[in-house]
Amino acid sequence: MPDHEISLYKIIERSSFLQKVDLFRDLSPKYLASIARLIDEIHLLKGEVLFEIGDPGDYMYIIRQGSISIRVHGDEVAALGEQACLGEMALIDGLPRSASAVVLSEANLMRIASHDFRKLLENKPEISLALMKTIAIRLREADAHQEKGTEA
Amino acid sequence: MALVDGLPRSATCIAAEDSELLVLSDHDFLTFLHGHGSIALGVLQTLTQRLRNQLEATH
Repeated sequence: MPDHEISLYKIIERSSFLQKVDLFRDLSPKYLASIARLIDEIHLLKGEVLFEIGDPGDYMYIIRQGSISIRVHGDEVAALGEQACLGEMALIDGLPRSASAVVLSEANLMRIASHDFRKLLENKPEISLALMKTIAIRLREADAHQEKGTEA
Repeated sequence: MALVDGLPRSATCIAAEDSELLVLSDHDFLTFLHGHGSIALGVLQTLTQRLRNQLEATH
């Protein structure tokens, strides 16, 4: 659960970190602050498993410090570091995890519960619109990437 | 997508036969979404699923 009593300092400090995260780059400070209020922070040690393939997408994570290995059936598909997001798609579309996540080096993560985040999105459509823009840009990139691969 | 992300068209569209189209302006659509949070979330979910499918197809 996020902190109920959260200091103004914490909100400002978390907001300025969130601003550096790709997914949130189009959000105004006001909305970054409402996301900052939903966050709680967790600390994990090397080797700990954050989630496994098929787990429900109950949280999204943002790496503050440390690194996380993303694995599909034991093979690493990505190693994520500071400012990277994990599980943001599961948080939006509610589908299960498509990969596992294992801590590579001692990590501090910010965590947002899907339930809280979706409630925020329903109440503040401006946030959905800003996220749509980021997702649409990623989709364009993915489309362009696929076209390149399938062109004769 | 141009409507959502404001970028220029990514392809050209030409009428292949006489056609009737329904038109939705970006301004009207975005104004509507601003006033309807659950629909905005629905559109976001659809875009996210498309991205997920696209990423799964390329990996």
